[in-house]
Amino acid sequence: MQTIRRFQGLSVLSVFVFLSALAADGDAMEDVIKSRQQNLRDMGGAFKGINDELKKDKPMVTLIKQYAEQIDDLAQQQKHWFPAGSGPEAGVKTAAKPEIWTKPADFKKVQDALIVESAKFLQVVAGNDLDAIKAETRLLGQACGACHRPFRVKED
Amino acid sequence: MGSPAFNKIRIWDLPTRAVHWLLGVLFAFSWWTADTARLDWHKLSGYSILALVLFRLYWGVFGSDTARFQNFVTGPRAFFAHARTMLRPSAGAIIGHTPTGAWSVLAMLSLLLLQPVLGLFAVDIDGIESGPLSHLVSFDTGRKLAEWHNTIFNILLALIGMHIAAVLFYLFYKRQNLIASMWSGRRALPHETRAQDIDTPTGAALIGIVLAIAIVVILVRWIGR
Repeated sequence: MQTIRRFQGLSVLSVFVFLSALAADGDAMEDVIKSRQQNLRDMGGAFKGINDELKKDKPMVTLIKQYAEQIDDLAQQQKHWFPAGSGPEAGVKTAAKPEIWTKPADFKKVQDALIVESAKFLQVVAGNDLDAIKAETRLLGQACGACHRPFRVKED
Repeated sequence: MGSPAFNKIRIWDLPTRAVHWLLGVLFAFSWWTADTARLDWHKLSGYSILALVLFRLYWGVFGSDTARFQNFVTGPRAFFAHARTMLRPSAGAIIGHTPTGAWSVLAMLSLLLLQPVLGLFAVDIDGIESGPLSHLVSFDTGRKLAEWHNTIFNILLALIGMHIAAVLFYLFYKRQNLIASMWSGRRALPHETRAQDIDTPTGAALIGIVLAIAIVVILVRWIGR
């Protein structure tokens, strides 16, 4: 009788331990996803900063350079933002589509394209030619779209 | 051609009718252009909707009798009293918007005003197609407004669906053709009502059109970037 009770007690306890382990793992993924989203928002914010500055009568290239550097940094870090298991299966709200992990070659291609474009953008900014900067800004924006279109859930 | 006992009386002025049908077309066009990523056309459509709604709000104060809000907006008592008559299988005696129709109009107009205003400030994900006033808000705020722009669209869709259902209900059950009236502006009314054609203050209409367009141009071109 006592042994059965103990067994039942241990079973219940182990279920709890297992569930909390799952929860802990879920928390880790939540951190990954939330910080990824914040980083992407920071990138979006920097890009908005560039566009808003360019809309002014006298855009300050030094300010644009700061945003460009921020985007360049973030672009290089983004390869760390998508570990396996950080997709929709993590149970956390994310716009990351499963294709990121089922089509890794395609995903890496657009990630690399962003790294290349942000570096190029920095160079163009250094050239101080507003027309060239405006033209390159469009290309930088298109690099965002090139990833979003196939790999981000379309908002509706 | 009206039958001998009826006259076809003008109950809706041209500006009111034009606004109504243009809003319908532009709403559909805004929807399609958003779905097909034609954001340059989407914005033009939105600016036009904003101008039309601004005009309609002005017209609700300075327009013809049936266009004026004070003549058809009522309180809850009249609303419920009228609602109780809705299931009668016959046309109503009210000329112009009924109390229930009135609140439907106000709901749709408010959201049709809110929607383009949200769009003016909205920030899109890729930051290329943001609204002309988006530089006045932060990225996070602009993204939030873009989400609300999306939500309001869905609410508007539901309201317009209800509006169409109501009009069809009037057409087939109550045998009152509201579509024809809103198109031609005319309704067949019995002689006995002694109803008169409504007057359209044309001067006021022209002023309203200029004002509405001016406000939108200032917002988009002068303040906007």
